[in-house]
Formats: sequence, C-alpha cells, structure tokens
Amino acid sequence: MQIKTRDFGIIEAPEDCAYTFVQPIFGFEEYTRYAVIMDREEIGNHFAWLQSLEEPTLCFLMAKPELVMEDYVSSMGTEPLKAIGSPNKFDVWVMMVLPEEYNDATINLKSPILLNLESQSAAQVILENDYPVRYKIAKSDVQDTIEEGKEQ
Amino acid sequence: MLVLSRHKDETIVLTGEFGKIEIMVTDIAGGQVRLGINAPKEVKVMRSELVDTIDNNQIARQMHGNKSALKNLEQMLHINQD
Repeated sequence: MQIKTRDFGIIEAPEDCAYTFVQPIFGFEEYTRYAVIMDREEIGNHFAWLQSLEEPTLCFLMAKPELVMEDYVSSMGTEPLKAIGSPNKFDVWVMMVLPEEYNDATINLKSPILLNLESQSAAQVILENDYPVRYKIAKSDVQDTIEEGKEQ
Repeated sequence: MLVLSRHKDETIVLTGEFGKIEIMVTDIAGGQVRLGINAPKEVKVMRSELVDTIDNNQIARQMHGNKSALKNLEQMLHINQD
C-alpha cells in the first residue's frame, strides 16, 4: 500500500503495517487509522513512526519499552490487552518525545500503544502500574526509579 | 495545598461560576480510595495521568523523528541489534 507520510513523502509499505485504533490515541479521538513504519536497516527494531493514514501531518514517534525496562510487557499483566481483544500475538510500543537534544528524549511508560498482530486493531491504554508519563531514557536504570517511587 | 480529612460516605463540595461539584469518598480499601463525583456536564472530570498523557501526546506529535538522532540514541544506549 502507498502511504502519504509527514517525514518521508509517499512511501510503499506492506498491508500489515496498518492498524485501526479501537481505543484512540488520547487527545486525537477523531483519527483511528494508522500505519506503523519502521526502518530496520538504518535504525533497528527499537523505534517506529506511527503515521496517521487519515491526516498526513499527524505522526508520532514510538520506542520499544524494553529499551529501558526488560520486563515491561510481563509486568503490565494481561488486563490491558483486553482493550485489543487479548490476542496471542501482540506488540507493545511507547510514545516518544524526541527534542533537538536527543539526550532529553522521554517515553511515556504509563500509557503504552498496544498492537494486535492478529486482527490489526490497536489501542492506547493507561496502566495501573506506577510508571511515569515522561521517563528520560538516556539516564540511570528505570527499574530503580520505579521501585523507589513505589516505596514512598 | 488544602488538605481535608474525610471518612467513607462523607463529601466535599466545590462551588464557583461553574456551579457545584460534589466529591464523595465511596470506599477506602488497601491504600486506594474510590471517589464519586457529581458535576455539571460542562465540567470534564479526568484522572491526572490521562491529562498528562493527552499533553504528552500533543507534544509528541510536534517532534519529527530525525533518523540520525535516533541512530545516536540507539548507539548511546548500547543496544544490541537483534
């Protein structure tokens, strides 16, 4: 399929990169169709673009939560996955804010993007876990920070 | 910050130009408090993490994912390409 992107012009992408948000991205409720675009050769598997298929200027950058927390997916439990129909095959991303100074990049560990790889549905959910909305990724171990936060 | 003590089933009331908002403590268990809220329908009631996520999403959409920055970031984090 052809996709009109914000950052790369018109590109050719496989059909299975398209998702329908059954629970939309918070604050962007009017848009439900997105493509997940990756560039494995150049930047690897840990970053992706979430490009709206309805509004070319609407695009987000996503990162893999495992970048900072290896057991992120298992620690969130199965409850959040109900939003996308509790599939066996799914993918979890987090929204990234990448300023000019990339050292200051943050990810939203509180509200991941869940992708159902079987039905191509998707959702942004808010976890019960005590995780930050703005976690600076180029910093110490997230596990320590989160556990310290819990003790208070 | 104003701090008030309330028992279960007790309420606090906020009044102003928006009318009257009533917040009741409906249950307290295991370090968690359940609140019931009565407010005029023009008043939006949201959990703070949802407000934070909306704000963060608004900022995120303004960021163009510059590939060289992403590459630098990945190198800096010493990620194994799998």
